[in-house]
Amino acid sequence: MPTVGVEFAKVSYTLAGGRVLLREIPLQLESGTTTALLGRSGSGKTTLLRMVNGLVRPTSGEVRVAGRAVGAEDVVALRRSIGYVIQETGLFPHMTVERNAGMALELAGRSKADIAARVREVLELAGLNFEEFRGRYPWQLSGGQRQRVGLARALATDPTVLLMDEPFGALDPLTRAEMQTMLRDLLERVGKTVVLVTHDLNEALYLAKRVVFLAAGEVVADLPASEVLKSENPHVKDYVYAVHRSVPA
Amino acid sequence: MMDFLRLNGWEIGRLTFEHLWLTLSAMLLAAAIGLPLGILLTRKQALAKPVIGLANVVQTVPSLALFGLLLPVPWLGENAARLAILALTGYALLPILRNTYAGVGSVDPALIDVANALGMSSMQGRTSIGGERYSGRTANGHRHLCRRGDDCSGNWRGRSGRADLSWSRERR
Repeated sequence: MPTVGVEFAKVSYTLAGGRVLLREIPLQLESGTTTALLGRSGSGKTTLLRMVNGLVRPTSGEVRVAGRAVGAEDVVALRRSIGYVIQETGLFPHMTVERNAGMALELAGRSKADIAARVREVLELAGLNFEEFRGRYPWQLSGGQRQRVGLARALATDPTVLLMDEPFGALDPLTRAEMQTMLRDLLERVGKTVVLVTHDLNEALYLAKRVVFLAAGEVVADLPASEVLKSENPHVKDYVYAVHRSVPA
Repeated sequence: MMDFLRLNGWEIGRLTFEHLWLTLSAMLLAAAIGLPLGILLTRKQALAKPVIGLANVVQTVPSLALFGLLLPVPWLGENAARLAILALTGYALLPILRNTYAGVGSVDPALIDVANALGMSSMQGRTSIGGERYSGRTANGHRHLCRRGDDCSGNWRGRSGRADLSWSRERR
């Protein structure tokens, strides 16, 4: 029986003004697999993702990572055990690639030799040559290279869970495809529980084993990636149609 | 020129040291107040306007007028160095405070988010990321202080810095 990596137990989130962003979300994400969260802007995908590492606290319900409630954990220790990648990479502009990639290890008090060895390992894993890139600053990198450094940083602590919020949203289609191929290969090798937020259906189908569709803060479809294109669910059909409609003559 | 230096070399050295000592003391004091206060203001936005406004007011008071205002104050008015340090601190506070507030406050929220996700506290994230910006901006405050320092030690103390040297020369 597969183990549960991340669990959302009737999770809701309501803003101070009463606007409901998430309504009683029930999800169990299998350990070691990739799950994509899809939906329109404002459907609650990012809020749901940010609950996993405690950046957002649910107003009701509970999020569990490897069976332990997020609210009951030491939040700093929890965050250090979860990798986080965002669209604009979030690299610190005044730090070199080596320092950016090793920041989580530095904060955890690891020795310089340990950090250098691990940073070398994760940069190579993300497809960057350590010697060539270690001394560069984020502004000296292309969008794809920055994203690789962001990914390396997320993997540096060898987290069990990897959260990815529109990781390739700012890249051109060719670089994006290249990054998706690299990420798919990498995820097959490292075997993490990945939660991927994306607007891109093709990206979700390429990278994820399971796809969850959200609309207005609710789960409207939850199905294996292989069944998305033939699904009769109206929400899924709308999404598929929007992506695969033909170009007018 | 050489004769002047031979006659006044020691005096120039002493006054230069005094000038640097006054300026450095005021700079450290202003940084000790301005940096934490600037960071605090990024957390308490409601206080930012009145506090920076007050520092602005201090900045607009002419040095001689401020000297006149502070001279009757007990303990402070008894010692010219104390007066100069306090005045210089007041003048240096605005650029340091305002630039720290602007530098730390303008950090991209996405970076704060990532910093938190890496296990930094919100304040650690702000100061670590904002560090780059506020170090450059705060340097403006220090430069400003050095300019005002010359002005103050000359104009305010009357018998200090360059003014003291001019006075000694006239005496001879």
